[in-house]
Amino acid sequence: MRRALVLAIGVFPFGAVYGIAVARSGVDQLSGAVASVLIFAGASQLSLLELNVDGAAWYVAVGTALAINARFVLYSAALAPSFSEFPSAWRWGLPHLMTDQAATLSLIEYETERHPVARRWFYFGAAAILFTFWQVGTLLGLLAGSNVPDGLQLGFIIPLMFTALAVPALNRRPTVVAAVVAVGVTVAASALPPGMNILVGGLCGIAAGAVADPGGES
Amino acid sequence: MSFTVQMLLVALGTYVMRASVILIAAGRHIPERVQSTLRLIPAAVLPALVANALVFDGGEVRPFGPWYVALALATVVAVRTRSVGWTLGVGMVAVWALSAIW
Repeated sequence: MRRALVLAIGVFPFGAVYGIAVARSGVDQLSGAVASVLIFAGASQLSLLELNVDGAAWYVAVGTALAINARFVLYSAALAPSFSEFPSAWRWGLPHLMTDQAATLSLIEYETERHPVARRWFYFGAAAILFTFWQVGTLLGLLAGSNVPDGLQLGFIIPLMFTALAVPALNRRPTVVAAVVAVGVTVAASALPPGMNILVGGLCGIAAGAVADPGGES
Repeated sequence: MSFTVQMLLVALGTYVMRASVILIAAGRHIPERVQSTLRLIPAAVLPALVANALVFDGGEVRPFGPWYVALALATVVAVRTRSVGWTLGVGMVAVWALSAIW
């Protein structure tokens, strides 16, 4: 849970990056802010905003945001075995709070924590902390608007935070194989529509990791 | 179509994807071999997100510079310490320092 708090400190400037982008974009400010509550997925929110500013067709903007979020299907699959032991209301509610951070921290926690009640509260606690910081970050970014200097390099928090999350997840040889292949394919597939390269890279990485893990030992 | 309607469509679609397998698989047994493959998901998806955010900047390839060096440094810190706090702290300080002198 301490990790979730530290990650939330990273989520906060990411939220601020989004809030600042909304303030500078000229789209409806209220809808821009509500997106943080209803979509709650930073990379897709930024992409939706940028494509609207660029005047892209609505189906391109919506399709790109959904492609970026398609990785949540993978987390949904990864979490499904643990979540199948939760009461129905939790199973319907918890997915909305899903983030890379909450899903990854929970999957690491679930390797040692077997009790369903402890498992669902761990996910909820981590996700709720991240959700709160994301909203506060969005609002402060929106209010600060263009007063924030570019020299702060707030955008760097995005790859940095995912690096901090990824490294603890690379604890076995197959996971390292998965990571290396995923990076290579994501960069090589840059000609694909935005977001699709992440999905294709991720899927190739998983396939390579599975091949490197023939016994399925864990 | 207005930004507001687009935002609502993305919100709906994103919830459906987040809930998808969790709701479909509820109450069914998932074989160990499949579970072992599922555990590879964060190991593949997170590095893919890192690579995409680092190498691409608004559709362009980001030229080699402070972001690459600072992220390499942060990765070393992450491997050595396994600490999210140290990784974020060293990474941000490094990117500020390198941007100032690059």
